[in-house]
Amino acid sequence: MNILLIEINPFIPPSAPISIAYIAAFLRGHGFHVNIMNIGENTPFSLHLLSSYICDFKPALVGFSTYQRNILSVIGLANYIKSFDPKIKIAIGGPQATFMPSSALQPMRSIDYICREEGEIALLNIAFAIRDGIDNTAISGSSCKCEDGLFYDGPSVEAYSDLDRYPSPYLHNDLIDFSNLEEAILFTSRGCPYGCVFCYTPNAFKRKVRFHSVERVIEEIEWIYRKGIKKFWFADPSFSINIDRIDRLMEDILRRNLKIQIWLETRADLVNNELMKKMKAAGVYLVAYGLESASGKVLKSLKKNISLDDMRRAIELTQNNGIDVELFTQYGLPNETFDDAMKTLQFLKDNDVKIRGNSNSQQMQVYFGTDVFNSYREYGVRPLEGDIPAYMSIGRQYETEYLSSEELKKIRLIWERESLDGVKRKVS
Amino acid sequence: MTEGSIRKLYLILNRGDGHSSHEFQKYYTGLFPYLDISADVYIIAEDMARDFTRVRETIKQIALFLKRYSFYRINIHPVHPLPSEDLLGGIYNDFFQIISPFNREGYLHQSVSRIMILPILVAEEKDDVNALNRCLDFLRDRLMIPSIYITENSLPNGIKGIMRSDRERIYLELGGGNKLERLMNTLGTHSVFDDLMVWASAPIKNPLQGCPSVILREKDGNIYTCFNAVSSKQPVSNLYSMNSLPELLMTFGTRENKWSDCLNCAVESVSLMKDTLRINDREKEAFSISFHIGMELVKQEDYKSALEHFDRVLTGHTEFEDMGTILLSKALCHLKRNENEKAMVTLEEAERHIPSSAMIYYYRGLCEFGLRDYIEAIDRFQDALKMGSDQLPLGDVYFYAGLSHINLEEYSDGLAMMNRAEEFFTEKSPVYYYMGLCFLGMRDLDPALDYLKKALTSQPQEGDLGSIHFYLGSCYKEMERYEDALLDLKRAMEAEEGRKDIHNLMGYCYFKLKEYGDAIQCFSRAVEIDPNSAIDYANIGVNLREKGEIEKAIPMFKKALSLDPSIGFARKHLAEIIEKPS
Repeated sequence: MNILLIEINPFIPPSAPISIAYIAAFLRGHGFHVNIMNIGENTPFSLHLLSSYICDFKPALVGFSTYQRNILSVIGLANYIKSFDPKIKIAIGGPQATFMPSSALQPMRSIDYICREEGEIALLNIAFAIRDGIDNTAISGSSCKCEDGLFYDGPSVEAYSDLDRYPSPYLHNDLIDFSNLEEAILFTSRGCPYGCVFCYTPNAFKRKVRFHSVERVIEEIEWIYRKGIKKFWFADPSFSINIDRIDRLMEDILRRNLKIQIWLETRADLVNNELMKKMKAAGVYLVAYGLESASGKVLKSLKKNISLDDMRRAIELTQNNGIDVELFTQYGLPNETFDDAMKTLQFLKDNDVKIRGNSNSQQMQVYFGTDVFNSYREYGVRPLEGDIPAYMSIGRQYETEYLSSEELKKIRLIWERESLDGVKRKVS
Repeated sequence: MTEGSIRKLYLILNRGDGHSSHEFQKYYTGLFPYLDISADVYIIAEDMARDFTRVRETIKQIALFLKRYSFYRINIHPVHPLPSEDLLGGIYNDFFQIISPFNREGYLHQSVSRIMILPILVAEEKDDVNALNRCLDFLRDRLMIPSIYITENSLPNGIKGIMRSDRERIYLELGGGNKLERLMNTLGTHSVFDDLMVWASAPIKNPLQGCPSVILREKDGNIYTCFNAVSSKQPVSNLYSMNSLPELLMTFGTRENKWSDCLNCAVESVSLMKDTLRINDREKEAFSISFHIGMELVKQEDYKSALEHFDRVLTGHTEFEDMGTILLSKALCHLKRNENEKAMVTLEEAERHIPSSAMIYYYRGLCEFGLRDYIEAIDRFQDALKMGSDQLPLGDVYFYAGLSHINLEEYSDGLAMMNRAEEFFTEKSPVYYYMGLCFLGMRDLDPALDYLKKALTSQPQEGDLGSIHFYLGSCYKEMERYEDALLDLKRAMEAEEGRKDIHNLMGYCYFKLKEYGDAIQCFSRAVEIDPNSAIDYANIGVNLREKGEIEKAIPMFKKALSLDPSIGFARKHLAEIIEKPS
């Protein structure tokens, strides 16, 4: 049985489609024939190309990585594929899908399944059900629309606690086309134990963290390195959550004399000078920290459990070791006033953090699955539009108790004026 | 057009030849499935009052297509003479009605609208800037992004600064020909330049793919896939003589773009856009493109053209952000052109921007090497190695350091460097060759022979064969294995017949084997190649004497001594002949 997984994000240059590549490797391991279509900005792609591809490959199941930003493209592609062959089943997964209400299947008439949990397991269950002809019923790990017109949520699934049980999207799998990519994305862990109210990860991963072994990560790095890729982006939400493990990873990179450049993201309270020195030696050129806000009052309501002193210390430590710093910041946060938002901008300036790349601020996005979305009134969030489709979350279409639309726009313009690169964020 | 996706479609609405607009519409809407999912459609109307209905119908057709396929986003650029304010209001209010549902959809999906209207208003007369501003504001208020096209005679005072965002443009008319040809030239140049910008900002630079555009002329049905083809009136096909859409599309598929053609076109567009970029405050874009084209030309080993691009950036933009890189690349171009002194000056400048750069010291080493100052070269290579850098080609640094030592006859140090270089080279033949020479220089003949043989079996370049065989011959000669030496020297001669040293060494070996006739032939060939080679005349003399041809030997010794009086053995032979003539 053929399965096609599609990553579409026409607003940004294509990057390694790591999440669907994990799923593809897992499904291939279970005997399915899986291909990936990765469409980014300037990737030549047309209706004609899509129809030729579908006609040739004949997938029984098509899966999409879904975000708030690409949902319209996903629905459009799904509608076309369904019109091409109504028998093709279509599933969506990813951050936008996990906590999307099942009622969203009504306006998304061509979508058959919404994956709710670990993508590998949820999509495998869907693939088995389609292969065995028992797909007209609730399937574990996903929600579906059945022939009776009703929506059913399947039972929960157990994700693997040892991430090494998932086959590598890189090793022995020709899943990612590096011909137009200069950077590889790696996950050494999944999940986050903290409870930041604006973030979807804690609820999606039930505040647990699971890891790959250092050996597996090193094996992947070496494999990618041999392909000529020198830049690595570690996409773990908190890369150094286990400092000893990261220490070993850096040691291994050094021992193998891999001349690579690493971007990573971690928490300000999860670094120390010894680790920084080792990171620098191993090729880490940039560490991104989540500051969010430089107002103590706002930080407290975000439940980030980190202090501004922690942040200053981490920035100094990083910069003193010759590593560049990026700070993720947001505005439009709960309890934030205009003056609070300006404090955040000033904090970057005071700490010599250049306003470029991911240090360009953005308005908080109220996504499905975040505490802010689940209790938006309590957080002072006032949606501007009552008539949005069920598959869309509030996103950035809101005012807050303390910030009007005009003020939010003003804050955005102030940040844009201060930007050194015309606001080129990589992570949203 | 690339791989079945048309990024830009230009529809020139100038009906003629009795073909109805319905037929034209049938053809261009048939192309929509081949449009890229993020495409631009230019609708060119010479008279908006006359063509309004057809422009409107075209926009409507695009809207219908987008409504059906929500993964598509299309920018529509109506291009037409600037009408009166009243007419403009009427026209664009109408267009606004068509796109309104998409604006609402964009709002609900927190995204930009999937259909954007970006009019290009052709100012044919010298309009008042205030009036222009009112038109632009009217369009901006309807979420459209206007641009102004200005002919040579219509440039109003105060136009600079009239545009509000990067996407609003002033088009200064370019090129010759009639009005439509000038318009198409201008749009084409902008199109090529915009594609270049995309190429220049991509992290990985593949060769330019050529114009991703299709241009259709309603009047005669001509189809073009390149703006140069429009200028030279060379359509790839004709709409009205086509039997079917697949036939039309096949003509696109078979079109080939040559990298050199596209590069030339790209280079030309950068130059043509100079004034336009200045008026739009976009000059930095041209510098960025010139920088990347220069880097691309370095890869193509076209160092002369690369230098022109680097110089354009260096003279036009003194605060270019990659100044160090560009100066380093410029120095490399000079080096490759054996302009060592210019390279040195450039490297000094580069060091001001990137101090303590291992690459600068490596290139300085290469300059000194080129200037034959091998002691300085070795020092610079050592500096580069001490500094270290990810970009430093370690194999090359060790190799050139080794060569410098060899040139100074420091064979032991040369060998040490070549040993280090060997680790980094996949094509090892040159390294083995020089290792062989080091051993030969140290008179350690067995390993010299081994390495030269390894050089021969490690896929050497054809041009290196002569030298490898020559030094193999030299080794055998040193070992007094003259017959073996001659075998390799003959191979060397086959590879490089015109080398005097090969004939000389062969002559020596024949002499040692007492085959004087062959020896004379070899030395004679040597003097043919170099008529001033005193030693070879002397060698001919010696061999003639051995053969007993004394009378013939005398003039040879005399010739040798007249060219080089210091050849002792020639003088000795001559003296002996004169003393004992028989």
